[in-house]
Amino acid sequence: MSAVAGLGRSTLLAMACAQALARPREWAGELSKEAVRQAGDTLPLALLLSSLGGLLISQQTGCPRG
Amino acid sequence: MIGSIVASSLVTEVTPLFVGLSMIGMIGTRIAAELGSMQITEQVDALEVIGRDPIPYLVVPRVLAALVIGPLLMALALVASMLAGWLGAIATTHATTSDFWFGVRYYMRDFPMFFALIKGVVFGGAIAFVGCYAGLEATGGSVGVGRAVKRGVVGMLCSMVVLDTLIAPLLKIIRI
Repeated sequence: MSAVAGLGRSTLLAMACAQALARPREWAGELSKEAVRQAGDTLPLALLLSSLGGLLISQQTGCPRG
Repeated sequence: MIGSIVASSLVTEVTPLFVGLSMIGMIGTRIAAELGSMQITEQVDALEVIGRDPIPYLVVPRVLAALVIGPLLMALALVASMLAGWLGAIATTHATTSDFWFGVRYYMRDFPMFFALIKGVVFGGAIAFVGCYAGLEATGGSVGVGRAVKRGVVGMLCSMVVLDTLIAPLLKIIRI
């Protein structure tokens, strides 16, 4: 599939999503379950990576002791 | 000084990037694999056969959930990264606690925080959307699911970097 066709198909999907927003009864039930699942999956890794990033940046930035 | 530098790099780039990478690894790949396996086992077609549009059931909740979760994750990750930055600074450099937080307060305004939260919304939506698209485009059995996830990850990484490049100057111009 060419890049242009991919762009077109993704645009069609985005338009279908926008149209589906007008029918909240069909997606509202799944929304909270999905949000909880996404948060539970991602939060530990995001906290770990960002903490390590913060530690690394401050270590590399400051003048070391000794 | 160290507080300003750590805060500026963490808030504007490092933490949003790490949160985006976490979302790609934990949300985007799951969505692509889930929808990909549903596509190749014809469960998506089955929804259409019974007269249900698959988009509001499969795509919209995932994308909307990621749009909501993105800024929340970003806010928590910013707190964690700043605390880790403070610990790293006082443990390994000459900076004191008051030096560090003075520097952070010197740099921190509303705008950089808002900037990071906007990145959370944009990255979350883009990652979930690209994951859904890659999953729904899967073809060719279980190998096709692997290919869909691979395409999805590449698309998510590219879209995250492109959006990061685009929204940085845009938000600076708008200066919300």
